[in-house]
Amino acid sequence: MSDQPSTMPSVTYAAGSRAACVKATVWLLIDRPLTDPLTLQAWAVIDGGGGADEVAGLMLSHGVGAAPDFAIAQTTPIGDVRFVFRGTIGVTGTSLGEDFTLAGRGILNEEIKAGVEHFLLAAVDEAPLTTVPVVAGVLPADGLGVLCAPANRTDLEEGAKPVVVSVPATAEEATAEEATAEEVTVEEVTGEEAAVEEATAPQAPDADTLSPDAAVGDGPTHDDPESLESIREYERLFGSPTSPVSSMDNRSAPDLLDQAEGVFAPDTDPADDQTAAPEHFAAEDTPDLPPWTAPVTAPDVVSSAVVSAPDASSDGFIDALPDFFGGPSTAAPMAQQSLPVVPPAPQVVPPAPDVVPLAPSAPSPLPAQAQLPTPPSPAEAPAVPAPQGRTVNRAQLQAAVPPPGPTVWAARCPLGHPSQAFAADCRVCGQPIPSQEPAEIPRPLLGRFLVPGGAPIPIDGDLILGRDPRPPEGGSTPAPRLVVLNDPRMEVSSQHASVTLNFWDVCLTDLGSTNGTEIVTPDGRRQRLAQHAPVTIQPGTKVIFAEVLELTFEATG
Amino acid sequence: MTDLVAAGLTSVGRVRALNEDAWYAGQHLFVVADGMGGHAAGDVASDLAIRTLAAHDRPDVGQAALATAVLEANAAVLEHARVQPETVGLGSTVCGVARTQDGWLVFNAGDSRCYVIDRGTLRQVTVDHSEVQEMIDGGLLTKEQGRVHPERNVITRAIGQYPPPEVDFFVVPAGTGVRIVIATDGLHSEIDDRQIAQICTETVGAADLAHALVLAAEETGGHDNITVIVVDDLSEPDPNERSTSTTVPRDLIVREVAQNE
Repeated sequence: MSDQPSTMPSVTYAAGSRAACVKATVWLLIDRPLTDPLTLQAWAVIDGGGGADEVAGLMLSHGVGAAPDFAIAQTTPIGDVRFVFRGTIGVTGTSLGEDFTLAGRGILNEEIKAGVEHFLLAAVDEAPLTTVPVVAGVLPADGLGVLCAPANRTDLEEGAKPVVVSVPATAEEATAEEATAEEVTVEEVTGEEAAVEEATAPQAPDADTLSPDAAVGDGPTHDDPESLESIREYERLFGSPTSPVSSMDNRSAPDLLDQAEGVFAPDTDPADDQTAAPEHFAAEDTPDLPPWTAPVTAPDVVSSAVVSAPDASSDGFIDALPDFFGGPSTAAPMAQQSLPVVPPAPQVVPPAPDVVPLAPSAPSPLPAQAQLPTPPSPAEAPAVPAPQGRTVNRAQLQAAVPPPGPTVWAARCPLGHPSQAFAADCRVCGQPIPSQEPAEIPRPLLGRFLVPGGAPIPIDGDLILGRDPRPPEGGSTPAPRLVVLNDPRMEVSSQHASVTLNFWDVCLTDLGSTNGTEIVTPDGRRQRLAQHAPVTIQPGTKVIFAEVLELTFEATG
Repeated sequence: MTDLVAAGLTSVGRVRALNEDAWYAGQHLFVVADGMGGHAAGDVASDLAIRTLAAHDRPDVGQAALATAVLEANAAVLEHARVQPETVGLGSTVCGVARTQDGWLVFNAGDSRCYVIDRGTLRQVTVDHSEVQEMIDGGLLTKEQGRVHPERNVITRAIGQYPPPEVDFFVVPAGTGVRIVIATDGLHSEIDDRQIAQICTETVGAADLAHALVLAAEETGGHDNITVIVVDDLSEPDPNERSTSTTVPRDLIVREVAQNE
């Protein structure tokens, strides 16, 4: 059970009076209120890693008579879905292109299905609309909809290949209960070819079910044939952008017509003329949703009045932009959830340390010509905000910058640079900082080392610099980043100096180097560091390694 | 009976290749949405938001129903990102008005704006949900500095986030001659409120005004998509109604304008 499928099913629920538990690959709907002790015990079991067996055991632990109606689903290590259900809570869904319904009989029922595309846990005589996405937790719900392996669904739609029931090597490891599952699987597999044909022709979504009328309850005003007709008439006259409203007076309509012609033919490129194409709903925007998922896209609902951009070719401006939301993932499509995912901290030991080479024929005393740019640090990407003017949500930015790092108390200058709380001047731009309430923020990127002729080294955490730097013995968390100072003349020591961050301070320590480390403070004083004695360096300080390589510490905002 | 004339116009601007804005002008509901997101998903997000909200275009839609509609839109955008993980991060602002018995119900999440022009006075009804607005509120920036601040593109609430955004609601008194302008930030990041007010008071027709505003933003640079909806209330003044409905709002408006200045 420890094996997890490579794709995460997406789960939605319908709020209700019963309770549901959702965790990774285990889903439970129980006919008890959320606050029932059994519900909370079940969640504790599931949250603790328990599966269908453990939950079923819990359900029956007070005797068969006291057991509630429930249904639990769990994906097996080979990608099947195992259902255990009892009483009035059942399962409906689609597997291998065929609909199935599981209703409880007797004390306890079990069924294992291969190639499940989606299923709904709900009371047998109900079909609640599951609308709200959920990732994990225990919640009040009357229905739990699970959409499995979207990759398979896509394949089905394209008719490219059928649902594949994999029989991996781990099948032998299946537990005793799953032996029955294998029989089921074999049956399904033999029936697969027939199922494939149906599957490759995806069922057209039921128009009634998918119309927003059913989902929303109140019919929109467009149901009124009169108003719909008036809109169509209006569109014919004016194009869609201007919408008439009831009982528009006779005077304004012709006015609008005149204006509309002027308005909606702006002197822009026809390709840019947004108003020319009232129809804009791309078919691919309507996903093939299971029937109990409330539709949110219905092409014919508002097309009479909604206007938005025509689809621009995707290989234009947008593609040229850096992707600052973490980049698209091509493999494992469902591995990335829609919720903000905290990326791992960048300070973990990198596979290859940064390299700052010196020129082979380094003339003394301070040639310091670095040739190879250092690879960009993972921390640098989020520090670069969106391209100018492109709107981004702060939540996304915060998700992009690793929050689990240390926090500092900060105040902001008029340009928005963070500085130490109560500092007089901005550490980046030097402007006076207005008096304000300091805020605790994740420590910003404090600065970088400018490398002559090379890419700057971001100071995104502790660093160890040297010809052949190694992580410190005993280890520390997070591990410092290793920066290789490439010096063919071997004047730079292999472990030359370290940089440690202490709240807002950048501390430089000479690690007992042979040829020493010097700093030149911003006011021009040159100072040789004592070995193993940390010194706090200010922005603008030059750091000189073994009198051959000079790096400049520059503060960033 | 209220007679409304609405006009909407969107422009891709002069810099962008894709228009990620969307809008809806219906019978009782008028909304703009400014989509955002990596990899050409912004137009999808604004589309989803608009379509979901447009389903709630009905007479006298209440605040609760609108809040639910925004939640629905939020869930729809999140669901899209879940089904198509390459679009993770997509989102959209929404800003709109709904005609209710109590007046205009204005709702907003993000940095699109609703302005009301009544008796020649322009008033910004909504408050941007942006980092810059937070700095302005904190006294660090003036509104004009905020308009050119480098981080003005960072918004703090949007459709498509989790947890769902809190939606601001405002009620603006309805009345004959009230003019409402809803716009995405492509308008007010290019031209300031004074210019907007001038154009709004100089231009008569709703469609003319939408055109004039979009054109002004384009001529100033058109760095972003620009979308404007103008709603004019052309109801015949009802003498009885007028006597009761103008007294209260003018006090309100005067007071709020004073606060803003």
